[in-house]
Amino acid sequence: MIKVRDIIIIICLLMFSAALYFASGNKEGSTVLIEYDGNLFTEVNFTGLGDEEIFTYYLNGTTIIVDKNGAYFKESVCAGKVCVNSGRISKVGQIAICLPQRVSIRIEGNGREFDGITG
Amino acid sequence: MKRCGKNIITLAFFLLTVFFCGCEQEKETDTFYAMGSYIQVTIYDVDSTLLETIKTDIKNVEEKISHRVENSYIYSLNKEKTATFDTETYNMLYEAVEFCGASEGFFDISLLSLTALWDFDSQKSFVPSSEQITEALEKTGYENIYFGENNKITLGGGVSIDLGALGKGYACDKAVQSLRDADVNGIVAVGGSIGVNGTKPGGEYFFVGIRDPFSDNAAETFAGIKLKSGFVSTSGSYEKQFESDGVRYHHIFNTSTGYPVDNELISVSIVCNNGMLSDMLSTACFALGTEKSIPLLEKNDADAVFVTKNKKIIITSGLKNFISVKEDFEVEYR
Repeated sequence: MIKVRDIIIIICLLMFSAALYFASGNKEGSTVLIEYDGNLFTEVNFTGLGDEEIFTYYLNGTTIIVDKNGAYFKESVCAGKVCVNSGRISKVGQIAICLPQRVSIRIEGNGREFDGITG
Repeated sequence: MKRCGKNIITLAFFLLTVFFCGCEQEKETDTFYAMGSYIQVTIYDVDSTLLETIKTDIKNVEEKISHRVENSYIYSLNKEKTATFDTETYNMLYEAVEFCGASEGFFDISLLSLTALWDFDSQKSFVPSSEQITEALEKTGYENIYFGENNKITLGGGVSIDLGALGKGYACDKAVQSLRDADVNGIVAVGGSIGVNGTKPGGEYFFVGIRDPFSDNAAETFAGIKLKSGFVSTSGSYEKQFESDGVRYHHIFNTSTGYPVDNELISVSIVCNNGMLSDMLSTACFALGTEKSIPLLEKNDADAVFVTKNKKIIITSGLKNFISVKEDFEVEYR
């Protein structure tokens, strides 16, 4: 027979786990990682940015914009401009790369849609 | 009765443990450049030694098989037209040439004279003359690659080797083998080639997106494949391409004409249990077109996602329960 005490313990455990889960989610958010040659240059939690907060980074011939909606390559000295044409990234797991300049931006955080992209 | 209550509490603890294992995935990611690609390795284990091992593995592959790396096996072979290989690379090349035959030459590793002429990597937007293409084609043909004793390979007919259509997949093989040896689950992306070992914590399959070939944004996807210990590679005409006089040229060649393949396809993704094979098949199937690819896929126990220029998606039956496609595409299963 399940006692009332057991039910209370189980409910408390579930509430505790739910609270931890949501706290964890809020803490991590979605972050832009800007890397040069595979090494971290900087990271920005863009979901916490306000309307007026727009960051510009100049890295090895590229110009990267980070705002509350994600990140993108604004300019690059590379020939093909594949990175600039890639447009904005905002979803967890998305990556934009300037291969010639060895600069990459990628989104990290909870709720990853894809673990990798082929193409 | 008392025991029953204890069991329920034990069950609750077990469920919570599983829940937290799923949420708090201990993982490590490394990113670097090699093989002319951006490489991302994610392992579900806190073991930076393994990440270093995988990085070394992939860089070693580049050192051995890139025709651009001075003194690599392939560089020496192209230059001297004969070279002695280590057994592993010799066997890999033998497999590649066998595949060239199996694809009836639609896939060919001896196209360097042609790829160097078009030179898509330089982004020069240069269309060679028909005379130049004919001259380059005369120096191609996998039948001119001779395998001798003691791991010696010789090139005839003036051919030179370019392993660009299999190198990334081969690098995935090496990386995934290191994961298997260490019994660690993870995912490796070498450019557009992906290799997976095992599942994510909690048994969840890895989910690999396929790039939307109709979008300029390389991060946009049109489908996702659930993958457990396998490989995916994609070849598409949207990559390494330029437009000249209203004509779009891309980097996957018709080995008979020397011009870019022109058929109904815009991209092909291959799923199978070998990285190099998935890479070779993606190029071969793109060149063959949908219908002619099916027997080759069956023979190699591989599945494919074909995307046509008119936005039709053709998926082989083995992927039916493992793929999801965005609604605005017409899907046909084979």
